[in-house]
Amino acid sequence: MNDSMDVVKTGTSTIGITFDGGVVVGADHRATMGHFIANKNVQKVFKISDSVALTTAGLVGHAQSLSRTLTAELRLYELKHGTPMTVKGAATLTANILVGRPHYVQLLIVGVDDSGSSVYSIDSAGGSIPDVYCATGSGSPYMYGVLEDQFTEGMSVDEALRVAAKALLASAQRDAASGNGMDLVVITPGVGFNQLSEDEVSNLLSGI
Amino acid sequence: MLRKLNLFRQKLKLQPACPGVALHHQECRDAQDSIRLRFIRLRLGFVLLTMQPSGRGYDSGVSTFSPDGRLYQVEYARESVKRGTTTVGLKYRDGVILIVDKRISSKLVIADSIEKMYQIDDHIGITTSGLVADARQLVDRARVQCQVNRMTYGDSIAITSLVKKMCDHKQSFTQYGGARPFGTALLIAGIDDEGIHLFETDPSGAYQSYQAGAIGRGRSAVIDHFESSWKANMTQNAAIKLGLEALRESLEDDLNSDTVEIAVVNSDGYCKLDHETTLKHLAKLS
Repeated sequence: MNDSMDVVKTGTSTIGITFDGGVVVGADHRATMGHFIANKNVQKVFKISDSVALTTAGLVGHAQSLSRTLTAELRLYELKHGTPMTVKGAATLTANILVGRPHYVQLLIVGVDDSGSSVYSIDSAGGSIPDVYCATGSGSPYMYGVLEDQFTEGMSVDEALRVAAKALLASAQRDAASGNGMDLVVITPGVGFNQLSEDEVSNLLSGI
Repeated sequence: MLRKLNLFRQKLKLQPACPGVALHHQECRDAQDSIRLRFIRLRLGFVLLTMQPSGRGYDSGVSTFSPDGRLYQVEYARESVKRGTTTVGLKYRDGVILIVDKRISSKLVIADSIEKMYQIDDHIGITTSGLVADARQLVDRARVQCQVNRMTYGDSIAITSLVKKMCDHKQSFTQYGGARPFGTALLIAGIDDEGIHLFETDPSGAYQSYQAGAIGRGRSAVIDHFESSWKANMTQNAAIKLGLEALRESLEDDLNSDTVEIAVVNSDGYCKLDHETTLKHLAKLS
């Protein structure tokens, strides 16, 4: 499967950053089949509830299937319990699904709840690790370079957005499997899931 | 313990049949009639026995028809709906209004702990009447069906599809032995590409679409009120007022602001009104 040209993989750069009062989530737009760019506008950030986002890297089929399952599970949970699932809950649920049936994916579960903002990175076999920031996909080494330099505790939303955009820009420059623009999402307890429009993203990028 | 239970069961089973038969034999013996006359009486007794409205003899099995084509267990299940709390649903210009009165028996009961109105998906709400525990099973199932549809087809479920799925489920409990039917009726309100929908489903699995309907104890009073006063294209406020009036019509006491709940399903989705807004609507009643 690793060298197959037949499957669409998101070579991918995705990123999740916590800041004071929320999280920033981002991903590039490129899907590849080997050296071929299969699609230039792929969705890799999924809204799985009002307060939790999923970013996906790996096989597109597995990633999309997981996003459907998680969206349904989180919605059901909220209807049955009358309160949204916590980020930790969503991460554990995802990990349990992957332990039962591994998917060729590397995921981030990013969101806010009563305990604050958090990022969980989840591997294909169901390992789930909480963090304050995390990057996944083939572009992650380049993003970590930016993150290690620029991430600070207690950033504002604008600072966090700027760091995320910079990191995704760096991986788009240096990773052959990442690029073609980016999605950026801010999740805060008050507003919920807020995806930046194309104009907002290009405004942000022009200032970097 | 098990033996005791079995004995108890036997007792229960025999009880309805015994007194009638015993009485009949006694009569025969006392009268000292001819054998022929006794025979006729016996047959008459048998016919009376099976024709009794309680469905004696034909009501123990869920899937057994009576000779006149009735399923008594299903009819009994309908009875439990008729004893349930009154819930009301009516269409208006942009959607559907659902109203329930939770009818709390004691001031010690915390009203919030009683649920009669449920959000099923973004665009669907259900109110129930009858056995609450049965209703919760159906509500859980409806919620799962909605998400299964989203997972399978990537789209929200059509209201008629959900109604049919729920009714298929209810129907299966009238045709296979081993379990009883649901003692619950549902008012299913929703909005989809095909328009605004209000359905009533009963324990047999039958369903009907309504402009304005009601289930539960006060059904006929509410329906009477709607038949004389419901109009198409009402505003939301007018529809809520009409719904509350109809519900009040069916109650012996006045509407209790703590126990009335109102939900609206329109193109914005399902929304249960908060307590303050509910009070405002109640205050507008004359």
